[in-house]
Amino acid sequence: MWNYQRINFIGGWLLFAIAAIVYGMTVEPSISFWDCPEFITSAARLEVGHPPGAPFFMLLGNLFSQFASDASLIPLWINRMNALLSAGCILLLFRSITYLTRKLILKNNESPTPAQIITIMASGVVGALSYTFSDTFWYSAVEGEVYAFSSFLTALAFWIILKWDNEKNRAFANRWLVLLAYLIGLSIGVHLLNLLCIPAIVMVVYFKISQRSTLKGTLVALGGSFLLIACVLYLLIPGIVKILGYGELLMVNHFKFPFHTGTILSFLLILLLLSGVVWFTHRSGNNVANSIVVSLLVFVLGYSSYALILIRASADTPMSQQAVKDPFTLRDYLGREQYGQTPLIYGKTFAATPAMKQNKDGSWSYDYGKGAAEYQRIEATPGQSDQYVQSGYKIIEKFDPAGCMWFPRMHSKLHAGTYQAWLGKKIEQPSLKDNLRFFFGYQLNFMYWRYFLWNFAGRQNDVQSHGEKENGNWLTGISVIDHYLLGIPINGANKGHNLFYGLPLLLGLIGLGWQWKKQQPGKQQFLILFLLFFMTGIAIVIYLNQTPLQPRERDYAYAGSFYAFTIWIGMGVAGIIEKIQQLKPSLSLLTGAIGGGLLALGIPLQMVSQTWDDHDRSDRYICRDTAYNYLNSLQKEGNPIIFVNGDNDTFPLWYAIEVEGVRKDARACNLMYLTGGWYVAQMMQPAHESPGFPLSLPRSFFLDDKNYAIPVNPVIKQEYLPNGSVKEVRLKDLILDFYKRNPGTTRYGVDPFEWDNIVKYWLCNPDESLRCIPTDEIHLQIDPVAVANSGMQLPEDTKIPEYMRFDLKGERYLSRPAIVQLDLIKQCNWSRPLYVAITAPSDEYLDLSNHLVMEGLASRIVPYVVNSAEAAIDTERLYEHAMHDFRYGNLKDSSLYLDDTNKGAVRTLHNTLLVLANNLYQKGDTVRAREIMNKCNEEFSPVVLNQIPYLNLKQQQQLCRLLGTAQIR
Amino acid sequence: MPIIRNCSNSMIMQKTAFTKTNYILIAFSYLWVIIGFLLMTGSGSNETEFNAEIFSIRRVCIAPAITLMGFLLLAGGILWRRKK
Repeated sequence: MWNYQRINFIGGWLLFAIAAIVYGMTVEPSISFWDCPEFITSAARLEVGHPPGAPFFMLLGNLFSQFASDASLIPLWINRMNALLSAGCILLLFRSITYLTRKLILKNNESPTPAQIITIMASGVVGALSYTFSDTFWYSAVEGEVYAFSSFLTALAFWIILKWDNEKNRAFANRWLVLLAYLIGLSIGVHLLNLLCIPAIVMVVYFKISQRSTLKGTLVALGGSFLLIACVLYLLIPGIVKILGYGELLMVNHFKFPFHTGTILSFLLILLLLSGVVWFTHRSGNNVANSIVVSLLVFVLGYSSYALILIRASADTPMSQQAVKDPFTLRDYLGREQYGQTPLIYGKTFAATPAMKQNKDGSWSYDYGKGAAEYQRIEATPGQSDQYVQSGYKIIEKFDPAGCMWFPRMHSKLHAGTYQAWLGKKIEQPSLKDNLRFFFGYQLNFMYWRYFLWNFAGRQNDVQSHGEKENGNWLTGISVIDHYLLGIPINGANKGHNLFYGLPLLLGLIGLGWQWKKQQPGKQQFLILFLLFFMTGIAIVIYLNQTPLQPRERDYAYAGSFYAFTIWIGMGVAGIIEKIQQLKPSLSLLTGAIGGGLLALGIPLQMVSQTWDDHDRSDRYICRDTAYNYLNSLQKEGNPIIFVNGDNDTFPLWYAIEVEGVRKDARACNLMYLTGGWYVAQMMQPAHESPGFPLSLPRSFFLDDKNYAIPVNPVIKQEYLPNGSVKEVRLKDLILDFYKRNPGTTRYGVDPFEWDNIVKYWLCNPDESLRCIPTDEIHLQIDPVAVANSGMQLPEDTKIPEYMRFDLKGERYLSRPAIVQLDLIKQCNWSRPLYVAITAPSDEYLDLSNHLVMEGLASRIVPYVVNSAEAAIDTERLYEHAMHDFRYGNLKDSSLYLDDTNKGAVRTLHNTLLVLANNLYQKGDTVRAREIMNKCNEEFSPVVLNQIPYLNLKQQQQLCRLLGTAQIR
Repeated sequence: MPIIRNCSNSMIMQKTAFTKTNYILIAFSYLWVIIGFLLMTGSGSNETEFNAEIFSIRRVCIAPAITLMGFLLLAGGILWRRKK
């Protein structure tokens, strides 16, 4: 009965089963908000998501997506995959805890007594269950993101190194190390987080192979492990792609082979060379050298999952972020270039100004560093093979040293105000003290320890916090402490209000102390675990160097460090049992172990009593239905285009079109992405049944290094007036003057400020220095017949104007998204409907706020000026959509859990109905207004609505009263 | 290097960890990966035409499954040893 191996085996799988069942029951049945719909699309249809990509996640996700009997079930299956991977993580956690605890209890690996077995198992169970039911890990376990997979791989790597440690056959043991190298290569294709367990791994190896560890040796090994991470991150990952780039340039540009030839050949060459060295070292019997080279080889093989990205991007899938078709774009994609440069050791503060340099002629100009070369692909034409043309160099920003400092924490100019708001004082140039205050106060305390304590002490609520006392803080449930921390009454109504009374934290600290006291093996283990804890937590904080006002809570990134802490929680049980046995020698050891174990088991059970309700995503369809609603708000005919802007009105729509095939005739175009030339090029291509954008500007206008922002009505010359003042003469004045002096001229078109003429004479001017908008008011000529046939709402008293006018007074530049929007409005000529999602800003790029008519969750762009709130709604269409097309995310179900983001989506939907009902009521159409209010009462459970703050419940009640429909309680 | 000197003989052995069979298994597994990637390739969409072929069963169902199998087999190839 007391067979340790068997109990350990069964225990692990039992916990796997518990976790799998819990996660299986609480998994989201369809897509979730943020990046999930994008990842699910990338897995199910092998389309390319945001940098740095996750090809190995895509492969496994693709397999799971094939179990779905219907496309709408694909997200469920990918979420289930994550549930299973998370359960696997729990299994490995259990095994890791029992292994480490056993090593501290049984010094000489003798066979354990029943009391010892109970102690070890109780540690494993309590530790693993605490992690199962912890906030952050559970969150990622039930949705379609990469973090569950990434956690699994981290747990697997840690478990493998323990396996290696325990392996009796030392020659064979090295294979576990090789496997680790392979795993790390593969895991790059899931998430780079996995590299962070390298220091812990290296220390396990060092303690095992050094017969007696010394402080000096430990430090050298530690330094070596950091060097190893740096090598992988900065040498191997980009280096291999660089080699592929050289090969590609050589084969394509020099030897005139088609694209990809050089990439493939140089990759095969790398494999061949490594294999040769492997064989050589094998023959010469040098085990160490052989293991190292084999490790390098399998690392490269694992990393090669990135071929998937190149292959799919080359097929031009509709979603193909950054268009990663060659090693040069792959380099930027892997390096996450578009997110900008964040300083780490030394660099700019928010107050830094660009560095200047003096030219030979004495003038001053900006000083830039020259980075890697950039290439443009020129596809083969008859008589000319494929080639890459160097289009320039990457620009490396340089800053005036006066605005730079060591370890700069407040680095983003965009956030200058928020840094100062956070520190509560005005700062010209951050001092070392400000810098450290921000580091400790915001980055460490707010963006790490707060999350840590959510998991192990308690959480105030699930509302995102930007530092206020009311939302998202950690607390304990012990009123004295909480009152001291927050000083406000605690409201427990929110489902994300979870109180653990700090017990898991306490248990973890007991475990930490118990481990430390176990002489040298304990201290060695402590160092290993601490490294895992530190690297996957605080080290990430230091590396990310985050700014205030993050768009969402970031706890998911630190799951690895919470994993490490739960190992200490497990050991805390051993600590408690040991204490009981010491204090109560009268009890038998076995009784003490069972008693202590049961006592500790109460902690994870208490945790789950708190965390279940805010992690149970079953029956929730809001994200998916919102995506449907956006798309079904668009006109059925004419291949509509909808402009969207944020993650949450973009990715769900892409998912709906690509995976479920909803509205394949429509196109969701992200405005922010339009700043990238690659994206404009993709929008100009047809996708499914949606034709490409019919832009009049050529593709070459949107090359990535050109025409980012076009100057508006530039100053041409300055005139000195007799009174001493200076008058700026702008281009518009000159043109007007020219037209006045030459009546009847059409030098720049009949109306020189009409968009087509601006495109023809200025934007497409071969002389790049003349590319500008020659006016501060753009005219778009309107085709009245096309408008009349467009299907848009035309209020009776509306006269269709001759021109649509865009006022650019005060603007210095016109952004690329605005240029695309303008050209699209003109070229679509009202026969192809254009919409803006109601959640997207209507004036960020091009001010369309006076030209929008709401037809659903999207507003149509109309040529006339919308002059009243009533005219801004197409009541007929909105009514049709609300009654027949919209889906309401199963909000009837009063047991539904809604987090902050979901609540926002419900608010939008709910408000749309109220706006409509009010509009109908104002028009005197009480019959249909009543129908809408009945729909509202029917589709939204009052229990659910009551959880949502800032909802217009008053208006709902008022409308219900006026219309005589049932009241919500 | 004191670390190396401190090392027990366990690391530095005359016998290498891998046998010929391991190399063959690794090569064989990676062959599957390559076959999968090859099956994934084909004609793409272009500026004027959307090519539905990019989502064919071969390219987005069979090919990734074969590639994945190759990657998983490879781990087996690293660990494989003859039972005594």
